Amino acid sequence: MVKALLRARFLQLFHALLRSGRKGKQRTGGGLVLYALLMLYVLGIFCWLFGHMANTLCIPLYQLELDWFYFAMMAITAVMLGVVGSIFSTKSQLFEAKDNEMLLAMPIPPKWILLSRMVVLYVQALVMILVAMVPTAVVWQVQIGMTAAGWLFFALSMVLLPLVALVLSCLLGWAVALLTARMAKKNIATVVLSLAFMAAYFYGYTQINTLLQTLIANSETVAQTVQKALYPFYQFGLGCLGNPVGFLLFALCALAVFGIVYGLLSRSFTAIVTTNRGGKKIRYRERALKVSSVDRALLRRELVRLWSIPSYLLNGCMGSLMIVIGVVYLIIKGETVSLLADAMPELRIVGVALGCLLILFLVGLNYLTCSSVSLDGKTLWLAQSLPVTPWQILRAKLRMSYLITMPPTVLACVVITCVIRPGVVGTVLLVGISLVYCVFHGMTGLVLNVKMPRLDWESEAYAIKNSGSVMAAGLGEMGLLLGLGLLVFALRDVASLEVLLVCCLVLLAAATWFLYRWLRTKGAERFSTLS
Amino acid sequence: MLRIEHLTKRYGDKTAVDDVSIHIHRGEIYGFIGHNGAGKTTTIKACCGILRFDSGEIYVDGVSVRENPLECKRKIAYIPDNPDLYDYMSGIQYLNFIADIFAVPQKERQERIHQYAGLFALTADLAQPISAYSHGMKQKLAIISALIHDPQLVILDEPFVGLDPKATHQVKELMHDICNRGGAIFFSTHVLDVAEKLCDKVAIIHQGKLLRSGTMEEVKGDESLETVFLELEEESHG
Repeated sequence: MVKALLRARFLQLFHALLRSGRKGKQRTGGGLVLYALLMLYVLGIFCWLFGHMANTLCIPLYQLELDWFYFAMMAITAVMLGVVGSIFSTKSQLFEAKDNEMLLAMPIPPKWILLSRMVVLYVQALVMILVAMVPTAVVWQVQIGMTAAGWLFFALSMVLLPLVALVLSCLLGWAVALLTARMAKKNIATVVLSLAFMAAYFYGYTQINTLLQTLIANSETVAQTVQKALYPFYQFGLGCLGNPVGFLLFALCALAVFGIVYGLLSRSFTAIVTTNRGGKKIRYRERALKVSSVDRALLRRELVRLWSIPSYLLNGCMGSLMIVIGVVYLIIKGETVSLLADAMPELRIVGVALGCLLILFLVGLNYLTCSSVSLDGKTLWLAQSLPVTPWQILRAKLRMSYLITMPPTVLACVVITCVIRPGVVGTVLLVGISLVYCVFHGMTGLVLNVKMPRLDWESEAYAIKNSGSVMAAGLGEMGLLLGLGLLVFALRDVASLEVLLVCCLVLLAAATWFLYRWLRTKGAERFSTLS
Repeated sequence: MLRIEHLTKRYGDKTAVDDVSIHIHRGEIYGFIGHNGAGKTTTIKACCGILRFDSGEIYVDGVSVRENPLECKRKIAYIPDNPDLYDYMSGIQYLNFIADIFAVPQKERQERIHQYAGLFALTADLAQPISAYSHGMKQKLAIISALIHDPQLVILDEPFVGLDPKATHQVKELMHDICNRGGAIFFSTHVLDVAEKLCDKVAIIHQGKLLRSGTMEEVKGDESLETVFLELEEESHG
């Protein structure tokens, strides 16, 4: 029974990797290799970041004879990464999965349903923990050297550490589910909570060097606190140094907390997933209905959906939000930049290039169109049966993307122009490249999602976060920007920066035109046959 | 009103619908019966312009679905067997959206929503998100949305699944009402008693092929529809 449940869960998890979302056919070898390379790229970046952190902490803590604290600190950071990255997916996968009621109706004990879901979350946590802890062990081995017992207990602890992350994300996910369940504006509450978690994460990330220095400077005090307040991590650290008692105590703690939380959740699982805690019933009062054109109605549908799915709103508007934050920051610091631009007028065009690069990067963080087709899911029949052309539907998705992306982009261009005063050519290039990229970005995402839709999801999170089109859009656009940036840098002696930026604008416009033609013809045709 | 001529649809090597021809006139209620996987939904989806077909032709009021799908869709209302609607909208948002797509004038949409939501006792729930609706409520909303543009042809796939007895009765009344106003109904069902009492004509499909079609009397003779259906099924297996 558990085996069957697990097989179903893992089939779902690896669906995007092994099968095409459109018809469920096996992916080609090339597709699999490409997907694996993309995953390795992402994991590689995270490994590098944690390796850098481990490298900074390793020698100073060794010299202070706080070896255990090195492993404990890295484990705490890894667990934090696992928790922050999975609270909302834990909430949706454990308590809001659409097949919960179907499974509960089957002769399966609820504890097994819960366990099968937790195993998948455990695997996800394991990946995140390994991304942080493998570089930790490698750095220690290279700099100091690990004993055979240390390696053994470290490897065994890697199986147990994700349990700690899993327990914390389950409890927080449960708390968030309870907190938002009775709220009238559930979506807003979820978005605000998500932003708070992300803000804390980004603050920590931007302050990492300062934090590391403070940590090293006050390592003994911090170590004493960790030893008392986070005792299992102290034992974890000892275990990684080859201490069998330390490992055993850590293992005991990890298994005990997991057992307690699993017991608590499995007792109340049925009640949690079946109790309707929805807010007050809103009674309909008849009033004049607003009449709209077909195009406006289709656009409104896209916007209503965006507003009603918190994870879509977050993934789709993060770039715009960051542009607005950047604009506020630039307004505050604008005087310094203006003085610099006045002192070195030849750098104004460099400012334009950097401004473009930053705007383009942030625009690329708005993951809207790359999941908008997938989100139609089981309701695709509606769009296909209504008297509208496939292109009208695709165009509404593009317009939603422009509506979210373009206003902050224009605002950013205005502020950059006011601050660095780049002249007519510089301004035209800044505005031109930024706006053309907004169109290019929307179309790229849509092309990818029409080609790689994921329509059979049980939770929206799979369409919004786990689909191939989202990953390809994010990494592909990042690679494109990196390529363009390097090309401009490499050719800086061959042509002026203005000429190179004009070339970028022309290239982007040409690519956008190509994407537009494809969407209007083959894309629309393909969309009309999706099922 | 609906003319299906030599319709054939294949999925790879499998022929889901094989040379099916059906003619439905204005004022007729036409039942489409067959076992699961017989080809009913495929035929229905092809009529609604959702599914491309390999050969044959479908005309809605003389307009080809293949050549002018939008024109046909404007005349049709389609209600699927499983009403997966836009969960993120409220009932009223959804109805207004459908009315916008069919360009229903404000006065008419207001009147029809008032009339049909009242008929199905759904008015009070129209401000609720569709995600909070039960299966039956979704089915009722799908029916209201189908009627909002006063379609000439209503195509329904298993329309009575999930409906309470009162709503089932009202749907049957509405079907008659549409036909009396010059429209036509084409629907699939497994409930043979309902088909026998409700339909003017009926077609029985088995493994993509039409076994029998015509007026109810022509198809069943003196026997019950259930007996004829089971006999035909057995013959085709034999």
